[in-house]
Amino acid sequence: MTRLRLIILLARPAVIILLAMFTATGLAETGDGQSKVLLARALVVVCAFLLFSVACNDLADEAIDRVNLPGQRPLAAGALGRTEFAVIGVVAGVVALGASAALRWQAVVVTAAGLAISAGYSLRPVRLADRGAAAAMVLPACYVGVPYLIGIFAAQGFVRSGDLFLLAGLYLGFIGRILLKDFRDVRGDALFGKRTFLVRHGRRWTCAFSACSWTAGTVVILAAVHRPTAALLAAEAGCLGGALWLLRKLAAAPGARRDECLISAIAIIGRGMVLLVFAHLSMTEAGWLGWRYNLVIAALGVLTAGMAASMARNGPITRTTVPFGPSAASAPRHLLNATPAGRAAVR
Amino acid sequence: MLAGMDTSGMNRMTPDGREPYRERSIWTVIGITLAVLLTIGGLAVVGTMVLLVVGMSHYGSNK
Repeated sequence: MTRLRLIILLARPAVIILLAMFTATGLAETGDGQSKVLLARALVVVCAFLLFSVACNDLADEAIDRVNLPGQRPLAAGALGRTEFAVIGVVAGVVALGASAALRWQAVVVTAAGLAISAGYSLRPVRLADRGAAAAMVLPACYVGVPYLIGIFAAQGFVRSGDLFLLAGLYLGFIGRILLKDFRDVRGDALFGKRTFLVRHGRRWTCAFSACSWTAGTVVILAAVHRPTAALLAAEAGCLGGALWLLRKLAAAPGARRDECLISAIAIIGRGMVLLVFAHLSMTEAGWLGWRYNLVIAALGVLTAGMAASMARNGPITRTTVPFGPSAASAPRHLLNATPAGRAAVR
Repeated sequence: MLAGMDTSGMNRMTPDGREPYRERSIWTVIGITLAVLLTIGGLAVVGTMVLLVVGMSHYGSNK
């Protein structure tokens, strides 16, 4: 049971759901959004790709995770060894390539490129994760581009310009969200010389850049989506307004606990916006028009707003932790490995 | 004792803990109802996604 929980933690359930939504959106863009078999085959590729990416990232960031996420990463907590992680990574990479080959050759190309980018993001000598804005540009390619294109190539062997336009909107919007992940990790990142956008430019500029990305992404999504409706426009605009308002509050330096509440609420809005696009594509494909369509879009908009407001007020109910792993007790030892510049930044 | 501490967002730690729980329950019920209606109407994949998103919404995630 503990091993099973470790594997689930390793795959990061929140990220799996996010990637599954992008996969389903890609599939829905082709007109096969309700095909459970195609979605399942695509998700095998995406889940294996995610496991490979997580294994690379955890291996590369073991020391940083001990500071940023004590007890929350199986490797940093000592619940799994480096060798086991390397085996998980290699097996996951092979499974991802094999499962994509069962789709079509275009999916193999996307998967291979995604695996290469993911490895380059985390591992030296490339190590894009240390390169500020470049990291924020590259990571969404893995989180958005790979699952979305795998979703498309699960159903067809070509990509239309409209498909790429929608991908561009999803990609831009996700840049605005991925920048915010560094708030949680700022202490360890500064300590170990990881020059993220937040470490380089500070809170206000990070929120400003994120707001620009959110806005650009939403505009492109609405311009790219097939047969947009007034209900979809209103729901997406409302979500964007909520995200920008929360970003404004985040820019005011409210403190670590408040940061967590606001960023989690912004993430809920982001997931809600993707869900709205997916629901729109699926409903138009299935002939759900008129009052039923408007009711579902309105309900999804209200649901997203309500969940985000609740999160912003109350914060998350719990943190996922590694079962039986050591806590943060080992963190101070690793300060010895930190760079002098990083130690100064944290102080 | 709490002077100088960031206490915003700590109402999840109120002694009875009921208010945040009730608020979350309302959104969970709405989400489940919507997911069931979508599934009955033939959009099972959308319904499943709604369920997953609602399930994750109570846990902190920065993505």
